[in-house]
Amino acid sequence: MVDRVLGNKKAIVFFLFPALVVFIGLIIIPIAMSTYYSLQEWSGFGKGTFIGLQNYKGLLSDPIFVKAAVNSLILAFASVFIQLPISLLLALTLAKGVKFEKSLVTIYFIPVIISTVVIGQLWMKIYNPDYGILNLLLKAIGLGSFASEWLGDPKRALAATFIPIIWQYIGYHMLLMYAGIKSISTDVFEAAVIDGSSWWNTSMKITIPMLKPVLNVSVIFAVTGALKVFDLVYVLTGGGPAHASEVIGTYMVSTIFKGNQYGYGSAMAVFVILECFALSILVSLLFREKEEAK
Amino acid sequence: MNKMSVAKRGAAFILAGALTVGMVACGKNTTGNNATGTTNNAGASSAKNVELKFSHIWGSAADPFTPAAKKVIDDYQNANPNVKIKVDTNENEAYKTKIKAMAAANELPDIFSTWGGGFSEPFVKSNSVVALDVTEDMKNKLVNGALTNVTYDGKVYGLPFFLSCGALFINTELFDKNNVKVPTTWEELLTAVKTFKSKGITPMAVSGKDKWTIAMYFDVMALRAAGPEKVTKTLTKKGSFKDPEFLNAANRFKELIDAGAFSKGAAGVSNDEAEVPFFEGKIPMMFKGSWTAGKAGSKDSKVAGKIKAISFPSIPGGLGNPKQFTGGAVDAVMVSANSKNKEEALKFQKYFAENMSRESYLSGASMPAWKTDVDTSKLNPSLVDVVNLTKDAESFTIWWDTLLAGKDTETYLNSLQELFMGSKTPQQFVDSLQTIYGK
Amino acid sequence: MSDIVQDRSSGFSISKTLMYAVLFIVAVIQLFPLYWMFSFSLKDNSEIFGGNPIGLPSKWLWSNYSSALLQGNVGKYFMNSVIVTAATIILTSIIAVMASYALTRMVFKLRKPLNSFFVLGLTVPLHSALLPIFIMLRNLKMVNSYWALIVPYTAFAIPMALLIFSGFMSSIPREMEEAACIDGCSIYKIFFSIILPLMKPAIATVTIFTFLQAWNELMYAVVFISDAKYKTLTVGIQSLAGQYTTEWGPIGAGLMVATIPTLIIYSIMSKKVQDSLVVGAVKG
Repeated sequence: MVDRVLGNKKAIVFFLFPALVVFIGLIIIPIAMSTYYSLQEWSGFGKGTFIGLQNYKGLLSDPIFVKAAVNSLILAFASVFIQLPISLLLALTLAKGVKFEKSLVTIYFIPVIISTVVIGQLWMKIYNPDYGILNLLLKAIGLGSFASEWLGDPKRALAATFIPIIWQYIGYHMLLMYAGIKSISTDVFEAAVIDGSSWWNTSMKITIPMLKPVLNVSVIFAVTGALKVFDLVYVLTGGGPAHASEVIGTYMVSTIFKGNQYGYGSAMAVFVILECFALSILVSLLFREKEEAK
Repeated sequence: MNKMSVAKRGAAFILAGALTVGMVACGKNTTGNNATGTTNNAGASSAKNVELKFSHIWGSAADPFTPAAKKVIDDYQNANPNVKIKVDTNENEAYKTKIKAMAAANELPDIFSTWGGGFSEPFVKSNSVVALDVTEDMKNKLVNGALTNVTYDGKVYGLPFFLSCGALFINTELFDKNNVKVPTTWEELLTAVKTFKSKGITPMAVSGKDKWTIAMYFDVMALRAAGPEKVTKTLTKKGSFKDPEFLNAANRFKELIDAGAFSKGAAGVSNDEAEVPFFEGKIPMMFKGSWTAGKAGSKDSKVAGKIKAISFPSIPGGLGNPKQFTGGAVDAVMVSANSKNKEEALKFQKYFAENMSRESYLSGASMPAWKTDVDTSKLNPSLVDVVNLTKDAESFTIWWDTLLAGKDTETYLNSLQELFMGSKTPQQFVDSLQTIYGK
Repeated sequence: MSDIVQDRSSGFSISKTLMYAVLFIVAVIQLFPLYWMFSFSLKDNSEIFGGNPIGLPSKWLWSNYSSALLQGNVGKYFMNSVIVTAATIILTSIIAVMASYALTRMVFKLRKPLNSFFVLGLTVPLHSALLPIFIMLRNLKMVNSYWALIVPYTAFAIPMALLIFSGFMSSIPREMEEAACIDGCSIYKIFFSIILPLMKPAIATVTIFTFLQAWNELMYAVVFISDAKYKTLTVGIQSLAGQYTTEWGPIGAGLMVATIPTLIIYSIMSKKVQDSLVVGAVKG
């Protein structure tokens, strides 16, 4: 009975059709076009020359691209293993019912809604070698020898660029998880409390497992977001100095729009698409497997 | 929800995609006619109503060129009531992306502002812009060499209006206060750098992050080392960066860096941040484009009356001299080859270039690329200073990052940044420049 | 739930004090950018870049606001942003909640592959899609209209919204639909009167995220719109920057003006997310 109702073909088409139209028109066809461009040597103007897979071969032997790809993966890794745990801890703490819960949920989200331009300018002030807060702070606590040029130092620029990115989106994932916890039935928690389970135990044994679908979404957002990151890196360092903080996003944009190598840049785009897609599927599989193993 | 209409919409999307791929597959469709959507009464005479789309970059009130551009456009519309000019302005960097995307999608406006040299080269190569008939009369009105950067394969494609040149801007007050001699030779320049440095003053302003500001310094030093002919020849791939002059320039630049000319943290600082101390009178020297004069001499400037423009001194063993300048006429307007109203657009193009040149000179924003007779007594004195400095200029050699196109510009600027930070030696820098010639 | 937990751990314990201290420090850190943007919007370049980068402005330049509002054409652009963003949110929510119902609850062969297929939408870098989408929009004669922004923003928001909705929907117990079927409900009735009301916190979340995306988007808004009639706020603010000179104060003022609606939308919606708790969320 349920299966018949839920297998209603007409209804399935009705529910999916609008999404499919928009999606194919503005996502799939552009992907196809990018793939087509990536097989050409094309400046973005006039006619391109078909060169087969040469752009892709070029990617692998381009040390800057390899570096950018590695940097992007580092960011994805850091997002999943540093950013998300912090977000989860905050969400769990807030959702268990602390004082000022509502205000804190609002406040913690603020960095997400502030324009990248402002966040970028703010961190440039923090990192500034002459008057930046960070160096002043280090000097004040007697660690003046650690004061540095941060964004200007090739050894530190990568970390200095990633910290603001990771920080800015902590609130984003926190909200997602918080909403997820809030939609778990309260009965479950009440039962746990009656059993005398501590908050930590409840979180580990009940909340987090029930939050899995949302965590899956968070991890996918974090990974795809990290692999496509552009804005804040562009504002803070532009990928420099000497490509130290280059990520695929910045390298692709300078290749396409400054270097006029539309074909080569499109190959990078296709690479990102495949990489993101493969990792997203992998993440979903991992989550599903764990669920089934349970 | 009306399912049929949704289905139609969907089909339209997919069809549009098919068209797209088809269009790109057969190259650019130069006969595509989507430049304007206005009336075009065939057979009507000169009084027919036309709408011209004009995209440019002067929309910010903070920009000294904005009022000049507005005045010129308004004046033209008043004098030609049948012409309506529809303006679209965007911020500089965003504009570059937009205009390239518009060219790629065959959506260029009738007339648009652009840059000579490498930036416009692909527009010309893809036949997106109209080649102009330049009359003798027009040539006589223009400053010598003003068309150099908008000439491609012997044909002129754009009309310039500003002349910019690089100059060493110095704060005379700081020089006097610290008893430093205004440098006229390389040794004096190094002495000045070292003296300021020893007094705890950063001698020169630069942003290592906005790489073009490093190039301002290096371009002029390469010009002093190799002379204008060799620089141009080499950049247009008819010479070699392996010539010793370029290594000399790189070595001298390194010498300047090692002498402590720039702040240690400059590599991570943006141009906006780097310029502030200069305009506050805390840094004595900055090598930049002539627009600096407009800014230094403006009403609310804290260094008004203290800034003087001098030419960068000769460097030992160099083939160039201080009468040769970096810069030239770069900003220009071009007309789209797809414009439905080419005649009108070309007429307006000439008017705009000539008048924009005068108006922005009058407003103290830049030097004119067209010969202009105006009363200089009321003009921004710093700007007049630059104009006088370049009066007996032997030549203008365009900035490298302007002349080079696309990828080559990136190669140059990135290698230069590495030289600046010390992660490339002068020899390695010159070697990587040579890669522009291909492997 | 909150009452119960608080009852259990009432009284002052060290760990509790420590927890509040940490929460408070984090709050200060997260509030700082808002304060900083505000002080930034009242300064001039020389204070922003060196003179006084962090403190309160030495002279409060309210004129930054008037110059941003006057030149940035903020009134008109603000309305355009509201129209584009509102349409994007509504379209995205409707389209995605419908699709995610089919993709998580309904039974058909292509369900799993389709789920993966939609993930592709998250993988596309905005910059490389610029030209293809521009060409698509041109062929559909949509350039220079609100649709030029609404349609691509919706397309890019759908995969995100789908994932969020699906995440929430998969936690609804199947028994609810079964009960409805026994009552003889049609699939449409199940969707509209049972599932949709349960999706309120998810819709609020999607609204917040879609709002952020559409309200702040800059590059597509620059390229797809040339007619000042349809330009959005971010583009207006960006055009305050000049070729060689930029006064950052008015830009800060413009961004401040642009951020306030975000704050309001966010507080309303996050309240919706929290309210779901009071209602009791999913009653199994």
